[in-house]
Amino acid sequence: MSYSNNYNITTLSSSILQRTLKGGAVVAPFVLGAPKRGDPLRETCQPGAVLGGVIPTGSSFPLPWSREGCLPPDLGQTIILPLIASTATTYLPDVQEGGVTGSYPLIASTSVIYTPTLVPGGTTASLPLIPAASQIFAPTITSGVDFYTQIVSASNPNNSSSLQVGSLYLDAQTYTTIGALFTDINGGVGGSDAHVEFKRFTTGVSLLTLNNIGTAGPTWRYVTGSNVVVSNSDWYDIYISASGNPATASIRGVYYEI
Amino acid sequence: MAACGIDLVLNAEVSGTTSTHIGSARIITGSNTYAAFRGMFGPSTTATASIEVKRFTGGSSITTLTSSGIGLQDISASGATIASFGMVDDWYDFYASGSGASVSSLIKGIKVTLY
Repeated sequence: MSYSNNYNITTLSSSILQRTLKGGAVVAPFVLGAPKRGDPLRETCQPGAVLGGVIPTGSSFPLPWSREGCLPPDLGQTIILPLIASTATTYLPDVQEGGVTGSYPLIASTSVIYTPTLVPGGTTASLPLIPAASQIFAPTITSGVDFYTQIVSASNPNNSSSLQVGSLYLDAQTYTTIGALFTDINGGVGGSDAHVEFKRFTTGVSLLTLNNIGTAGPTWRYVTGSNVVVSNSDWYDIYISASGNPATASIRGVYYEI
Repeated sequence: MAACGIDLVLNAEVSGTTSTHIGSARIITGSNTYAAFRGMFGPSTTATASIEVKRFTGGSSITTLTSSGIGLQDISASGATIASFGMVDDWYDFYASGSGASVSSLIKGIKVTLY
């Protein structure tokens, strides 16, 4: 096929206009073949031209940088497009679906250079060079430890009678670890088993009981429960107690991680 | 683990100069490089109140914050590397004391920032 310098691609117009695209774009910025008042495309468009640009989500058309009856100019991000092989074929722009969506402002002026803005992250990392062009490289998301800790400084001199020393609101999920630092401090020597119990506020049902069975000294111990399943998001009351008499259960802090 | 702040709310009062335990928190340093400590505390009279942070395991001293004057103040210390503090994943005990026998030290909150 050869092109003259004076042509109209009028056979493409009805297929391209007002097509819904994937990824939120609503209309292709192409108005091929829809010149008004007989405007020929030859004014600014040449066959085989390199075109490009990102279709902004939610844009209304014609875009500020488009002209009726013409293709948008190169916006900096170049996409190589094949030549149209046949005027009898319907051509639709192929918009690839991304991982996330976002709102982008319309380009306000064609005389302004638009560059991406880099937002600083929490940490820096050294990135390896891409070793080969033929491989697919996908980002790796590394999970971190999400933990909570709080001072709970309280003592219960009433032996085995439980004393509420605080409450935690726990979301319904599995907690890798729930623990506390506690002991029996009676007489400065301890010796009785000390307990920390988490009970659901709404029902009073016990979620977890931690036991320090080596309090002599007294010896403060970090006692944990692993993979604790919280089925109901709710407040969970923290109680401390001991097994012996006399005994004074004492707690310094709590901790959990997801 | 990304940078984070650990807010410890407490309402403690320590009388005299004896260093008194006021609470503990388990700190996971993760991949962070620096740590900084901050506290809302102070003496009830014109004097000095101190908060000392000690590692639970071994009892080594990590840092000490000092509030001089009278009343509650926002006291912060410059951050330093976690390595220089000698911090690892562990429980950390907080102790408070005053500069005189008649001094009451009030502690309302402690913040540990990891970054």
